[in-house]
Amino acid sequence: MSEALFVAMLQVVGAVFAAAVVRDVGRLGAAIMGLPLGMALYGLATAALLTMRIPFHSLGALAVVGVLTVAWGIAAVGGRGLRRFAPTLGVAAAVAVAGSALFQVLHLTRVTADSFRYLALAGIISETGELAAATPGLLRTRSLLAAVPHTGPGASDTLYLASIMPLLGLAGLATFTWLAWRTLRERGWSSTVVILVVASAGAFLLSTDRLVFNLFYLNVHLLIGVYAMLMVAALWLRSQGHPPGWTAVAAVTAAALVVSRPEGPLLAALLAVPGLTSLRIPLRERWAVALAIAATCVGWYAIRLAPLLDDGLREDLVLGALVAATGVVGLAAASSWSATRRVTAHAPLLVFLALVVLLGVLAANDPAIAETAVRASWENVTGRGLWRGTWLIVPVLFLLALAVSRLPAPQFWTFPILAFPVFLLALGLLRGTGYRVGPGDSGNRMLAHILLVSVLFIVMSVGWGDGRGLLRSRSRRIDAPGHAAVGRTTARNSYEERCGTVGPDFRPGG
Amino acid sequence: MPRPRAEASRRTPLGGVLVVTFVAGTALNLSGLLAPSEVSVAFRPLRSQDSARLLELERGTTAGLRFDFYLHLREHVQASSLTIFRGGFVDPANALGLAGIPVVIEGYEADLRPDQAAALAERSVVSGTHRSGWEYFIVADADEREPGSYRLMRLDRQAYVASEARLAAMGVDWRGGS
Repeated sequence: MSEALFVAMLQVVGAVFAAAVVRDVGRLGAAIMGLPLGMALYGLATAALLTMRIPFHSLGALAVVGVLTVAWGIAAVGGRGLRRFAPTLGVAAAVAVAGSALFQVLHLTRVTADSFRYLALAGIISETGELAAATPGLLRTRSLLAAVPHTGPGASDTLYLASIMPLLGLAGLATFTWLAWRTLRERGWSSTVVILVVASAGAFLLSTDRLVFNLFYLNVHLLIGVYAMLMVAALWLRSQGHPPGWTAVAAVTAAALVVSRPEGPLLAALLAVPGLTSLRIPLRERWAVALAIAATCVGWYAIRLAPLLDDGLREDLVLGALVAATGVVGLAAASSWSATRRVTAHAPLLVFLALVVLLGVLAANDPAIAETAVRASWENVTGRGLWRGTWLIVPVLFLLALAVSRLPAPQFWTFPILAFPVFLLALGLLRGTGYRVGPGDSGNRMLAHILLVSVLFIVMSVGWGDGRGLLRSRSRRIDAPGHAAVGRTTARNSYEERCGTVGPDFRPGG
Repeated sequence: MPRPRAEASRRTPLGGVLVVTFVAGTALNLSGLLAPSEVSVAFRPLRSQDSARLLELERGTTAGLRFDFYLHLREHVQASSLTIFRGGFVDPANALGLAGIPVVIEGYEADLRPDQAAALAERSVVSGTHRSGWEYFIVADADEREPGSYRLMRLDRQAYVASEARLAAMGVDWRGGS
């Protein structure tokens, strides 16, 4: 099977999943989100097979995911609904095939030491059908997600798929555009202004050196950036009355993040904090997200990888996953009890403060490394990291967005964006080496994880703002972190207007 | 639901601020992208004897990793693609690896601070300026874990080492044909 066909099948599987579970996504939205979701589902199926020690075969994993997704699609929208979707699927698959062929010809792939390790892992999995031959060194500082696409049948000749990352990245940017366009149009912005805003934001992203580099780089950073954006957006959309299917999107992307990098479980848990504690999302759906994260943590790290501890796998890898699993389950449970709900209503603020305290303790424990990490990170974002002007512009626009926004439930966005740099520095100190100057530095590369979330928040916030925002920003930010109360926002919410009112699903604890 | 025209017009300046700032950011980003290239890539292809030597070395030094992948991969990643990225997106260390310079894979990420680079430079056995413009030096025994190994270090314009590649086996004529 060719690489292009494999990519097209991932695209179709993801698009069917999106169309089946998210009722208001539309054919275009489903097609746009198809490849990222298809890759996430394929990655999770691979993780599940390896965890259960079922011999892996790429076509087998793809078939399992495909059959389950189509069955779910038929159950959700019926055979007729899927048939109506078929022409769009055909076009999406054709675009994927053409794009794959194009990027195979252009062949702009970038590789570094990390890439080789991911590809070595992919080669072991695809050749042996299991993980046994993988050394702890391959799993110690990396994880499964970036390796999985290259287990595909199209990689049999070249050992990697040259088109998968650029297509995933473009799908991520298309998703960004679609979400921004939809939100701004629903807020009543004229199509001309929306085109200008979305196009300029897209140009800004596409001119970002490290983002373009990641489009062709065999590593996991672009995947994490896209999944973080999808997860945050999905949770926020669900909190605004959009269909429950968005929770499924959040659960799938959160689980994918868990197996993305060693700190993936903690990152997924962090991004989930506002959603897990928001009464705008029904309790059973909060539990679904929490259990998706916890089950993946336990399955992959505690069951599959823990036996490698005797061979040199780091204990903190498993420990971090268990902390994340316990944290998300604890938050979901606490938010469901009236006795603890007063506390969980402030969870984003409390978790943020806890992170700051943790960072302070770590920095006090080793000030030299802390200083090195901060200096290196500063030099990286101001030039040496090859981000050019991106991280000079984004913080300024973020502050503007905070000032003018009437975005309801902003903590879904502001908490991850504000917590991420603290989390990043704490990680550098936890590993005992801090960060260093240069584009290849781990901390510098990880900045890509939060870029799409940040820029999308900026665009959406301004979409929800008005010309008087700078003067009235303090008085209306009532749904800030820690104020997740239902119906207390005065912001005009087009979703709620469309739905009439907040439905029964949004009762506290419901 | 569409907003009233008056409100839409009141918000237009916000959209304008956003557009102008994004455009300014794009210009800032592109100014770096369009700057003169730090490295032009015109290296020779990897010779078969270099491949064999490197493979032998790598298998001997790092057990468990499948370095045959590495050599195989390099056959497929063509240096020609770098021309598209010249000036902005090219990573010099990556360029070396892709162009066939025998780069041992662990060596890539060791960007160094200026003081570290200076300390290493004092121990250099060979130094000079490459035809493409960048300064280099070769350090013996740079890695305490692997006595007898050599590293090719590159200095960038800010006088810190932006990337490194390790010449693990001497006798590899990495400058040939460049």
